[in-house]
Amino acid sequence: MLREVDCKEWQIVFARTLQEYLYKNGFKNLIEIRYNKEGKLYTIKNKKLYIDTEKVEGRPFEIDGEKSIKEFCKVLSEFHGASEGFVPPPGIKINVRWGKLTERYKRYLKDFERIKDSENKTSFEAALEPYWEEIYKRAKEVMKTFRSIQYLSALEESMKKREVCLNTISKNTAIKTKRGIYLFEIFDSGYNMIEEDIAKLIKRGIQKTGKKEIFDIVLSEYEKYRALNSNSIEYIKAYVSFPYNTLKLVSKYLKGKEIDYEKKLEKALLRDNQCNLLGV
Amino acid sequence: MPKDKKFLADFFLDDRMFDEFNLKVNEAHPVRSVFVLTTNQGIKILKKVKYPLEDLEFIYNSLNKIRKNYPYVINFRLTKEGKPYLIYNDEVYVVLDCVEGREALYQNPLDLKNVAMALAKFHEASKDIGYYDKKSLVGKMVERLLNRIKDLEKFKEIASMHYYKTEFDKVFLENVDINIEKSKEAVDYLKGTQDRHIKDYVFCHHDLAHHNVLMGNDDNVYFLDFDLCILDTRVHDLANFINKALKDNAFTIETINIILDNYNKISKLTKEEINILYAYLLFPKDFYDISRDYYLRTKQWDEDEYVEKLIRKAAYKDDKDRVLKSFKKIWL
Repeated sequence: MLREVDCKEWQIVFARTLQEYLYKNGFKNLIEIRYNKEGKLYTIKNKKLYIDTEKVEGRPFEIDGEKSIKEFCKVLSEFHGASEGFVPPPGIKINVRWGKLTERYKRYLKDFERIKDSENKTSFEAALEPYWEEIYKRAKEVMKTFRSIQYLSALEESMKKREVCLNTISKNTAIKTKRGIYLFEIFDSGYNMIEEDIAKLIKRGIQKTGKKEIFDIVLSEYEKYRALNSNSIEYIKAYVSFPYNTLKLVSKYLKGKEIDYEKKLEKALLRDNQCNLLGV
Repeated sequence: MPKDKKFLADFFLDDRMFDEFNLKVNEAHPVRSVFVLTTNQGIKILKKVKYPLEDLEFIYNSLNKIRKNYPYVINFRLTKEGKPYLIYNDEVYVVLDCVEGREALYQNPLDLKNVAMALAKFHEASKDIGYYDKKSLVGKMVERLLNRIKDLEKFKEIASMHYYKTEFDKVFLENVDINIEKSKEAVDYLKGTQDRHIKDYVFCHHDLAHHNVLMGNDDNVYFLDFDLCILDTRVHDLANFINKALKDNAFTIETINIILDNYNKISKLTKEEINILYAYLLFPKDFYDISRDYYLRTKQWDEDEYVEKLIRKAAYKDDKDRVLKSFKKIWL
């Protein structure tokens, strides 16, 4: 089946080699990228990229309730297990994300600090003011975790083990087929700490259900298949609790992008509060 | 068409060229501005060289010397005639061995630490490289920075003269005076150091972007792409590395501390060198580079791209000032 894809050529080549590694390690729950009739992994037509995949019938797998979250936990843990240790063949690039998210947190936090003392507050800044202290405290608390020696050791461990993450967990990540849940595409995958993937799943689950218990549900379900240590749980909690939406909005505001900030602030605060597991 | 794709479209990929390198190529796929070749001799990188052969030979010979004490640098495949390059259809091509590994990630403190230590070892290994005037900046930095100040003043004149100012002109004019001031500060500081008396030079990579540093699967740090190399004090390379790492790390002093602490573990910097490093860091290189690229049209970006980059780089100023203040407190 021919399919248009929105990624770079090297990502297709990478995805195919990761796919081979996953198959070798017993993970077959993904849509296969195939070589086309010319023996190539992709074709370019009218500046668009096309790949040949196996034809699989199914519908997008929505991660929107306890049942679907538990089902996805199993697939995610199996993916992490099967992909660990992956080393791309020579000449094949891999996405590397170790440390990238925490760096983005640092940048957003810096921007957030700048907005506090602005004189002649705009309506957006005035709307943010009552929440500033609380959000700032939470963000700083999270960053303490990511500055700790234990975290750096965990990062080093992840790098030594060559952990691989999906990196994107959305309604387009998987499809539900007769054979089970299949990952739709793995172009965004790459080296990263698996705690980030788990945190993304938890965040999505909490935002969809409004229930903070999703945190415990995901962890206990994931641990049925793969063990996590107590430090991992701390990092996952930190990733989930970082007030990402609010801080990202403030960064965009400071860059002067044209969006309706006040309306978006309300939504961002709500989403971040939903995911606050620190009680700070 | 993206600029990399345009550049690659002009590559001559044919068997006769590969044959000159004793290679049988099964597949060639593009990555940035090179081709990755699957050959009967393993994976290779095909690159087109756009600078004089003399410079290429200097790079090749220097790397051969450096490799004796720091083996983790890119290796050239020789042609049938024993040369590290081939002239084909009036273009110069090189074929390089592919190193197995991943690009360095400067947001990752462990990568920063390992790259800093590797850079120190690389510099140690490159101390006895023969002099090559064309690539030498030894003792020339004051003059170089003064010329850059003149450039900025010239660009200011050009921008001011435009009757219909572009968006770039406007942003540039808002920021140029403060950047000229900073540049003069850098020159004054440098004049106060012993830079002009420094005879010791090393082979500096001079383009330590994260994609030119490979974390090998063998846990060694490899340096690639020496096209912009120079001969100068090793702190020139350190400044280059620090500037790039700071951008990836929200301009935190911890970034500089990680780099210098780990560099010093291998090869201790003198007080004089740290002073020179400070002067190099003072110079607003990013602002200068984007202004030069725009007013001399050295890159094929469109207007929006230039403006976006200028705004971003102009915004670095406050962060840079803050981190250099901390740098002075801790290191000087």
